[in-house]
Amino acid sequence: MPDHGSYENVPIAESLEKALADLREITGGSMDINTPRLTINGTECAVVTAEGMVSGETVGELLLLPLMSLNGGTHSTPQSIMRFCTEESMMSSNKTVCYTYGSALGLLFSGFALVFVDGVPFAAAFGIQGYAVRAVSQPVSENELLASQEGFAEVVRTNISLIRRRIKHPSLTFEMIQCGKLSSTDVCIAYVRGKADENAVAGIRRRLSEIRLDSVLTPGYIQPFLERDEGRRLFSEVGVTERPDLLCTELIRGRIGVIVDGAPFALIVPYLFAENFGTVDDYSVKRYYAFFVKIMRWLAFLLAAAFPGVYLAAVNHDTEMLPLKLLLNLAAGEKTTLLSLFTELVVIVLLLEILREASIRLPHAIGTAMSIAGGLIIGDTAVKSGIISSPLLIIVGVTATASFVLPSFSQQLPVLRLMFIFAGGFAGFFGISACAVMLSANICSQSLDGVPFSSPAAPFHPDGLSEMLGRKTFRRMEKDEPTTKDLT
Amino acid sequence: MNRSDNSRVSALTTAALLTAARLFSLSLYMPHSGENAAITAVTAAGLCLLKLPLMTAAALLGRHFKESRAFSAVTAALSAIMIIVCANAFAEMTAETYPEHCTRPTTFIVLLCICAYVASMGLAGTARTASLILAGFAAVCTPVLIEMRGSMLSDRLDLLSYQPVREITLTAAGLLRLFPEPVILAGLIGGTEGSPDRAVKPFLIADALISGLFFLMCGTVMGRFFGQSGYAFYTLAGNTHGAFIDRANGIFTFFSSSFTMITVSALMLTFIRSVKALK
Repeated sequence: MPDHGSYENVPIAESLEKALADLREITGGSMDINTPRLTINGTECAVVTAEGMVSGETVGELLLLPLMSLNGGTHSTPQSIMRFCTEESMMSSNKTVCYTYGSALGLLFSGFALVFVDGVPFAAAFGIQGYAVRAVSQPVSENELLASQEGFAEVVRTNISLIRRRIKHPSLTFEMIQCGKLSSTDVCIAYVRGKADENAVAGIRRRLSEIRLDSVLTPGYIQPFLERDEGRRLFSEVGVTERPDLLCTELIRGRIGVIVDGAPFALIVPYLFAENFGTVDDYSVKRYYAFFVKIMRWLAFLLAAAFPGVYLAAVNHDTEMLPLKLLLNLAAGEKTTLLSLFTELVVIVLLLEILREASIRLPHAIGTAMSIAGGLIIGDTAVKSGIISSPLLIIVGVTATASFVLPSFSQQLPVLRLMFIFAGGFAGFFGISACAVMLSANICSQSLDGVPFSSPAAPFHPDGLSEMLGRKTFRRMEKDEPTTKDLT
Repeated sequence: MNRSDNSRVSALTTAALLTAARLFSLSLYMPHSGENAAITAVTAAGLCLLKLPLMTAAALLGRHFKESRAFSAVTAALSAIMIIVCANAFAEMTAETYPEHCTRPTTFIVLLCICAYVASMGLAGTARTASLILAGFAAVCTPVLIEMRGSMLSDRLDLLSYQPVREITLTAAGLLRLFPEPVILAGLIGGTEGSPDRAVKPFLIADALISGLFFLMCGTVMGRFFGQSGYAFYTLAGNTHGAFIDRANGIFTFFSSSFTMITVSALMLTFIRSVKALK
């Protein structure tokens, strides 16, 4: 008798009693498996479903009603009943036949209903999923003003439809594979044939099929398997988006999308460093404004990462850089504080990160109270009590605001900021330079599937520069046929 | 062209790496007493003509004898010496420029550690960083140098020399005191795609232009005090005056340090590749 450890390739028993007993044994008599039975012209049948995974109404309407209507008809043998289910009726557009318990249970837990007929050694499976799902809603972290307000949902098939609706071309291909030994999570690879590099698609297929994790619950579980030298890299060559329109833009450029069932995010492979600075809105605004906004984002990145460190280096090591009036103002501000500038900066930056982390995890109502406590009470009191100086508060305020411009760097920026502060505090501009060179070398050494992460800046591609610092004109886009090969 | 691995770059990227190495040498250039900036500018530009056969030979040797044990032993030894010379020269400069913050041994050790990390990122990481830092240098220094125009007076440039041959010889020796480019090129040309000429010629053109411009600026700003200026690059920084930044010493330190790190990292890569070829 098969059990939960060895059932995958065991053929379904011909006897209905035996088949249902096997299912009970494999699932340990789990209470969420429903096995209502019915007799059709003297033949025993069972419709097996998983509780909550199928719609009760649909089961009744599409399966039970047609099956019951066979009573008194010409379908008197088990084979003719099963033929009716698999060939003569259209109970569901998504139907298949399972010969083993492995394939049957895989479909059962994906929301299929299984029809067993006594005397037939296989089961018919009908896709009549009816589980509770979150509707397609607005993206949370990638808001756009002049673009679609739809974000990905948790169900992979809903997400596939969101992409298909936007690219109605047969070259758009979806491939589904299962990842996770226990979770058997549906992972979909999406790409446009003729645009995406075939070797890269094959590479992703191979890497995903080699994953040996017990469960894959979010895209974060498979992201490290798609990256190269994951442990040594500060940034990821795999992008994350919750916008179907952004994923479609990338697919058309020859990128490959990976969608994981259960999370409203899609992965984009390969992804460039410069792409973190782009939005879908860039294509909805005037070109000059797209350039302006993009340059602001680059500036915001530099400010968020290095501004406190550069300030520290300038004030502590190269004071001659600062104009006299500014220097005197800063000196007056610092005169009344208790701590050294370096300590002040480390304390306030760490405090800022604690406040940020708290604001992400807390419910909205408490989050507002926390902002008041953190921003007003701690900030104001810290200045008044002389723990930190007012100019420093401006520096940290500018840095924090700049870091909110690029949510995709939310992991890297706090770490980089602290690195620059320590480097600038201990070694001045030599330290800042060390950080910048190491960071740049880290970014420039990254590449995935032959596409350098730092492209189109290094290696330099003049064509890509307008995309990096703004956007191309639509006239130009009419002529272009972008693929990832343009970036190698 | 597939650059999926970190061991190959384009010829222009190699040229950028060599230009960064030249800027490192220029940033640590210390004129001898009584040196004439105009002669230095002409000598630096003229030296590029002499460097052409030398660099071409280094590239050809690097490409054709990269498997040779004897050649690898020579490049390994030369790169090891150049690593110490370059790192020491930079450490000496920081100890003189920032005596209250930096000591020579600390800077030397820290610099080597940083460069080891950068070198571990491979040729692509190092060479592409060089091209980005060069672009940043051009972007940041252009406004700084434009703001310097008030300090530059052409009549400060002394065109008279009583012993031109001696002056040129001394200056050329000074300019070649830190000359790591042939070693870097010989060691890393194996990872460069395309003809060596496509790396050597753009580098020498950039070298001639940058060196000539730099020493002419030194001459027009410092005049006959050029010979007493110490580190000319930093003395020039002390003469800048902008709207937001009073004197750009910090910016010049940033770029000088960056060029040093790139140069020493490139030498480390050369050393590692040569040692691997020896095995």
